[in-house]
Order: sequence, then structure tokens, then C-alpha cells
Amino acid sequence: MPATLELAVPLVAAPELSLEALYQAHHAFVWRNARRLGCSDAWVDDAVHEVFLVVANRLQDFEGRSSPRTWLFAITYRVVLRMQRDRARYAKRLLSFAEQTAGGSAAPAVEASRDLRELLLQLAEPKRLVFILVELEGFTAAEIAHTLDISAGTVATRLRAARLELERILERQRARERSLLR
Amino acid sequence: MTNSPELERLMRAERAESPAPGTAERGFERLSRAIATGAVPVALSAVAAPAAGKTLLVQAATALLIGASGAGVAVTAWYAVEQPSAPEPARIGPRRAPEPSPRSDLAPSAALSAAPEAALPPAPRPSARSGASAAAGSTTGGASSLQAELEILRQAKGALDAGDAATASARLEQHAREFPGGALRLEREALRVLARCASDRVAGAGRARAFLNANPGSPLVDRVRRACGLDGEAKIEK
Repeated sequence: MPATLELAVPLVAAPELSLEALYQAHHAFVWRNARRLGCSDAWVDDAVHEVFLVVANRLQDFEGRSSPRTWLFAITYRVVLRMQRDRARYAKRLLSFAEQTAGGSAAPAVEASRDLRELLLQLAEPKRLVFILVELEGFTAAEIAHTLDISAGTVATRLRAARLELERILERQRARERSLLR
Repeated sequence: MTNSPELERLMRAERAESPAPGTAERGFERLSRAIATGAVPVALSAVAAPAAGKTLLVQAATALLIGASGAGVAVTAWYAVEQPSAPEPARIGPRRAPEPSPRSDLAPSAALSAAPEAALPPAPRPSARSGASAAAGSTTGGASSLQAELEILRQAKGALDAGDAATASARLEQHAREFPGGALRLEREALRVLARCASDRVAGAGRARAFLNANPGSPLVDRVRRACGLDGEAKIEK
């Protein structure tokens, strides 16, 4: 598993880090996980940009004791949360304006989706993070325990719960679809 | 593994997702320009804004240090991190040492929504650096270190352009003391060479050759060659 290999070789023994090297090596990783954490295609590039600005600011202080991926994931998570809050505030203002001008509300329609990223958004944050890191990125339980500062047992518990919940969500979606066809 | 073939299929599809071709290249150029122009919170605002019409070098993250003479010099910041002198293995243990901070665990979703940043998986932070590495790096620490580095080098460059080699050297020594493994150490070395060549071109030529040999890919190669009178050698080498 790639994550295991990365940890098996201390990063300090790796070639010199640079912003460009990190960007080229991990751009896709940050892009993928920003989307999984809630970025839409409309602003995922902005989120990736913000993440690497933080990286540029902190690169000198990166100790190299952990995988760059765990470091980048934590930064990505922080950036996406902040941008989501900013966007939510903006959307709230827009909605308020729309209600005032049109006299009605514009509640977004929630539709069943076969897209895993939309399913992930229905998971509680702790379970979602563990599921992404284990199932989609191949991090080891020990690596996730270090990244999230939880025990390996908690990682396993959250992973099981995440899988079960996703399976149930899918089941409910299929049941609704079947009922519509009758 | 899950018990749902459909979930497995969705996971495989998600793992295969990747950015469109060219996204990384465009993104890095955008990042480089943003950093170079100081238009973003990388704290480069202390650096003089690039004059209109100056060419931006965006080979990497580029910082423009504009000299007092207005001639301008484009200095590429590679933001490289010097490897720690005392390598330590990656920490792979399931638990980190107990921390007094209550934010050490990923909280339940309710707590997350109330204070999401407090529940954030903590990134490796500057504060966790060892005393030795902290002493070997920035004295300002954190996000301001790059700005501090740039400010010192900007002063060195300004002195150099003003013909004040002594001040330039002093600033460069200051940078070397405070940021021995700084992100801009290559820029520091390049400015040292330029300062040396400005005061004694013959003596500086040796240092310039050493710099050129060690950093053949540096965007400062041409400038060092010109300033140190090595243009002819460059042609001969080619």
C-alpha cells in the first residue's frame, strides 16, 4: 500500500522538498480530496490554490516527520471548511435577497445520487474523514490514527460505521427508485 | 471491503477521478504569479510591487525583488526545505504523546459543526519543531518567516543596487544567520555572488563559477554570468 511505503521510508531521507515538487506530486491528491470534502467543480481549483498558498507559507516549517499527504490532507480539510463557511454566508445573503425580491424561498432540491462524493456528504464528518483516508486513499490505520489523533480502534469503528451507513443510504435510494417505478 | 457491490463500484469510480490534463500546470502558474505579485496572503506585501512591464519568472514560485535602481531582478524562490540535520523516523505509532490541548481529538459531528477548526486533525505545526531545528531556521517562525526572509534579501538587494556592498554583505550574513536553511537560501547565495563580483570581479568570478556549477538550472544563471563577466565562458562551454 503506498501509504505504508511512504512511512516506511522517513521523509527526511527523501529528496529535497520544494513547493513545485510538492505541487506536482500532490496536486491530484489535494484536488481529489477537496472534492470529497465538499468542493464542487466550480470552486475546487480555488480551494487547491488556497491549500498550496498555505503550503508555501508553512513549507519551511514542515518537519518531514510525517507523510506530506497527511499534512496536505489536514490543510485541505481546514481550507475547505473555511471556504464552505464563507460560501454559506454568501449564499445566505443571496437567498435572503432572493426571498425579499421574489417573495419566496428557494430551497435546494435534494436528489438521490449515485455519485460517491454526494453520498459522502451525508456522512458525519468523523466517519467521512476515516472513510476517505482508508477506502479512497489507502492510508494505514496507524497513519490515520496519527493524522486525526485518535486510536487505531476508533479508526476501525468509524470505518465500519461509515461503510454501513453508506450501504444503508444506497439501499434507501434504491428502494425509493423502485417505488417510483411501480 | 464492503458488502455492497454498488458501493464498491462507486468507490472504484471515485478512486479513478483525476484533474483534467493541464490543470496542475495552470494551477502552479497561478500560484507562482500570486506569490510573486504579493496579491495573496503569502505575506509578501513587504516586497516592493513589480514594476509594470517586468517579466515574471514563473518557473517556480517566484518572488520579485525590485532594486532601488529600478533595474529589477527576478529572483526565483524555490521554497526548498533543507533536510533536518538529525533525521528522525516518521511517527507511525497509533497515539501521539498526550497534549494538554482539548482539541487533540476529532470531535463528534455536533462539536465539529460548532467549532470545526478546533476539531481539525492537527497538521504538523511549526511549534512542534525541535529546539535545534528552530534555532537553525526562522527566528520569526510560522507564516511570517518567508516575509522576514524576503525583507532581509530585499534590503540586501537594495544596498547592492545602491553600490553599498558592505551593507549588502551584512544583510546577507544576517539572513544566513537567521535562516541558514531558509526557503530563499539559493537567492541569498546568488546575491552573495553578485555582491562579491560588484566589489571584486576577479575574486568574485571563482565564487560565481562555483554557484553556476552547483545551480546550473537556476534562473539566476544569466544574471550571475553577466555581473561577474563570465558571459564569454558560457559561450565557450556551449
